[in-house]
Amino acid sequence: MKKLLVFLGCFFLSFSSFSQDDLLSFLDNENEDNLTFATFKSTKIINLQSIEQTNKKELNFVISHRFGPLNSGHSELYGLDIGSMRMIFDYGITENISITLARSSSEKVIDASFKYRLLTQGFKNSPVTISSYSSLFYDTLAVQWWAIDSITSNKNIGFQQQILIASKINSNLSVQISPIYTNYYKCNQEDLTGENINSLALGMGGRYKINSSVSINSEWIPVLMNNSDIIHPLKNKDVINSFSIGVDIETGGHVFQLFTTNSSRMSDKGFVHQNSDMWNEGGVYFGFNISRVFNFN
Amino acid sequence: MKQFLFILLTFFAIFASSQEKYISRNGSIQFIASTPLETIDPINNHVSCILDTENGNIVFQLKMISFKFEKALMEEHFNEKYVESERFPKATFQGKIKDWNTKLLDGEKHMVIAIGNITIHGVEKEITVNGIIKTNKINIFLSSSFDITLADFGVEIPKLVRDKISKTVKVEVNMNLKQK
Repeated sequence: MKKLLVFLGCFFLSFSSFSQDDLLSFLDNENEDNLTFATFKSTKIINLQSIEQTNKKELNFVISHRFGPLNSGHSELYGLDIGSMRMIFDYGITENISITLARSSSEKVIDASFKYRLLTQGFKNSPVTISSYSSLFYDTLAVQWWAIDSITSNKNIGFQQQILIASKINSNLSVQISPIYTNYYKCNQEDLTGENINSLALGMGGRYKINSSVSINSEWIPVLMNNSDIIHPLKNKDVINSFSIGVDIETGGHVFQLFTTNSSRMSDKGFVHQNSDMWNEGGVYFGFNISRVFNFN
Repeated sequence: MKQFLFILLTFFAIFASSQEKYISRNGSIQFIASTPLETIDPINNHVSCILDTENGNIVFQLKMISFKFEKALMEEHFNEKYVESERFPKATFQGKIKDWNTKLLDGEKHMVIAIGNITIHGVEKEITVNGIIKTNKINIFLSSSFDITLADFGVEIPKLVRDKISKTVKVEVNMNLKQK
C-alpha cells in the first residue's frame, strides 16, 4: 500500500514540471465554436441572394449592369449596345441583419428587402448557415396598366420570401439551396388582364474557388409550382427557368462579378419568374456587378 | 483512511503542480502593417499565454480569426487570402526566457530575452525577442515588441496591393498573467 501511495505521489508530483508542449496543450480550449466565414465572396451568388450580408454599419452600394441578349444580332453588337442597370443600397444594421433598397431600370420596379441570418455554420457544430430573406416589390409600370382595370387593387405589389441554406464544404467549395415563395400579379400587357400567382421555386447555387482571388459561380432556379400546378423543372414548356454562370474576381477592396445568364430582369421576382429567353436560342445576357463599400464605423 | 490519504495526496499534488504557472487567456497582440496608403493595425484581445515560473518556459497561442480589423472586408481578406485561417487557425510561440531565475519576479522591471519557435501560417521559425517582465503580488506583466517579415512565413501579397501592405510587420505584445 505504501508503495502504491509513493508511486501515486510521484506520479502526481511529476506533473509539476512541464515541458513546452504540455504548456501548449494547457491552453487549448476545445469548447470554442469555429464560425465559418467567407462562404461566398459577395452578397449574391449571381442573381440569387447568398447567405453573405453587408457588415455592420457599412453601406454596400452595388451597380448591376445587364447588356442585351446575344441573339439580338450584329446591329446591336450581340447585345452590347443595349443596357439596363439596377442600383442597390445595402446597409448592415447589425452583424446579422441588413436592409436593402433597390431599383431596376428595365422593369421599373422598386424593391425593399430584409436579410436576417438565423444560424451560422460552425455554431454548435452546425453544418449549415441559414438566413431569411424577405422582399417587397413595387411595380411602377403596373400602376399605369392596372389603373384601367382597377384603381383599388394592390396588383402592383409583390412579395417574396426566401430561406437561404448554405454550406461551406471546404475552403474552395460552397453550395446553397434557397426555397423561394413568391406572391405577385402576372400582368398581360396586351389586354390588361392579370392573375394572382402564388409560386414556389427552388434556387440552387454554388461557387468553386480556383485561386485566392477568383471563383467560378453558377446557379439554377427552377420554378416548381404556380398556384396549384406542379411544374416539372426540365420537361415543362411554359416556364423558363433562370440559369447563370460567372466568375467573381476579387481585387483589393472590390468584388467584380462577371456572368452570363438567360434572365434579363434583375429584381428577385423578375429573374425567378419573368424570364423570356432561353440559352439554347441564344437568349443569353452578359452582365456584371460592381460594388463599393462605405464604412460608417 | 486510505481514501483520505489518497485524496489529500491528490490535492497536494495538484496544488504543487499549479502554483508555479501563470496564465492568461485575454492578452493582447497587435500587429502593424500600415503604409502611407492604408492603415492596418488589427488587435487580438484573446491571446492565451502560460509561463512556468519554475523553469522559465513560456508558450503563447492565438487564433488568427480573433484579429479585429477596422474594415470588415480587410479582416475577411486577411483570413481568407493571406494567413489562410481555415488551414492554419492558430499561431503559436513555444520558448524559454533566457537566464531564468526567480529574481526576475522581485517586482522590479527587468529586460529579458525569450528564445523559441514561432509558428504562423504553418511555418515554424526560430526567433529571439526582447521583452520586459514586471510583477506585482498577484500578476506578472509581460510586454514585447518585435518585427517579423511576411515572406518568412510564406504569406504572399498580391502585386495589386503590394504598395498598401508593409512587408515587415511590427508585433506588439501585452500580457497580464495570473496565477493558475
